[in-house]
Amino acid sequence: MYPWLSLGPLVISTYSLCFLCAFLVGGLLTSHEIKRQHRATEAILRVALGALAGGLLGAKLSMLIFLGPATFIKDLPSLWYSGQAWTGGFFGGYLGVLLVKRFNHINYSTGDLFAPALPLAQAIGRLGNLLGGDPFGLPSNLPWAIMQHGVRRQPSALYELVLDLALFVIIWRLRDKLPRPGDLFKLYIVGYCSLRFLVDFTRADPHVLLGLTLVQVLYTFALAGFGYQLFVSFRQSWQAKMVLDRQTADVL
Amino acid sequence: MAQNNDPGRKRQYWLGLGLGFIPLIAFLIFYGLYLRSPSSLSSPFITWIIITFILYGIELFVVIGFLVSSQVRFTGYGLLTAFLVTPIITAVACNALPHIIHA
Repeated sequence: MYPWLSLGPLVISTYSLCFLCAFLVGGLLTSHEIKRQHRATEAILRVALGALAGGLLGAKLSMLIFLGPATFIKDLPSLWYSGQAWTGGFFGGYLGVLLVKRFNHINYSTGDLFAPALPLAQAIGRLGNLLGGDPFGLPSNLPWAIMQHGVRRQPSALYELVLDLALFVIIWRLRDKLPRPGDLFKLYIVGYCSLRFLVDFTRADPHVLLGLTLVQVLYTFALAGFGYQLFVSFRQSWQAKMVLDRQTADVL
Repeated sequence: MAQNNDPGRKRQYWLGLGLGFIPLIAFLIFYGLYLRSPSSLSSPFITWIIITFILYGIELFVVIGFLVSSQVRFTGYGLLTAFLVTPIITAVACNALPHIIHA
C-alpha cells in the first residue's frame, strides 16, 4: 500500500490524487466524446451538470445507507472530505440526469456520451483505493493476496481495476457500432453491475440478504432492469433488420 | 437547443468558472496562511476562512440569479460547475496542504 505519494517536498494522498485524476480524465473524455459526436448543446451541458450534482450528492448521501444513521451522524464532521460510495454516486448521477431531462423536455438518449468515460474514471479511482488500502478484501492465502492492516487479503480493488479497464476497452471498441442510441450506456451498466457483483464476493462487506452484500442486492435490480431493456432493444433492432432484409429480398 | 460553440457563450462559461473559484482560491490562501501561523488557534486567518465559507454559500444564490437570466445563463453554468467542483478540490487540498506547508 502507498497511501502517500512523495514528489520531492510535496506529499499527497494517493487516493485524493487518483480521485482528482478520475474526475479530470472522465470530464476530458466526455468532453471529447461530445465534440466528436457534434452534440455540444446547452441541453447536454445541463444534463452533464445534472449528472455531476446528482453524483456528488448521491455519493455522500448514500453513506447514510452504507454506514447506518448512527455512524453517519457520528462521522459527519469528517464525511465532507472522506467517504463516498460509487454506487450512490452512480444512482444519484442517473437520477440527476433523469430530473434534468424531465424538466427540460429532453426525450433523446444522452448516456452514450458518458459511457466510455465512466469505466476509465472508475479504474483510476480503484487504483487510488488499491494504493490507499481500501476496501478490505476477504482474508486469503492466495499468492497475489495483499497485506491490509496486518492481514493478507483478496485484492478486490485490483480485480475491479482490471475488470473496469477491460470494460472500458469493450465500450470504446463498440462506440458507434450498436444499433440504437442508449444501448452503449445500458451495456456499460450491465457490464459494470455484473463485474461488481462478482468482485463483491471477494470483499469483506457485511451480508444483508441471502449472503449478498447491499451493493449486490442493489445491482441485482439494476442488472434485471437494464439487462431487460438492453435485451428488448437488441431484439427490436434485430427484428427491424430482418424485416428490412426480407423487403430487400422481395424487391430483388 | 443551440450549440455551445458560440464564442460569446464559451467566454461567459469560462468567466463564470473563474468567478466561481474565487471562494476556493481565497480559502486555500487563508488556510495555507493559517497553517503557517505559529499560534494556529488564535490566528486571525480563521475569520477569513469563515468568510470564504460564507462567500461559498452566497455563490449558490448568485448561481441561481445567473441561471434564471437568459442573457448571462452560460456564466451561471460556469458558476454552477465551480460550485459543484469546489468541495472536491477543497477536500484534496485539505489533505495535501498541511504536508506542503510543513515540508
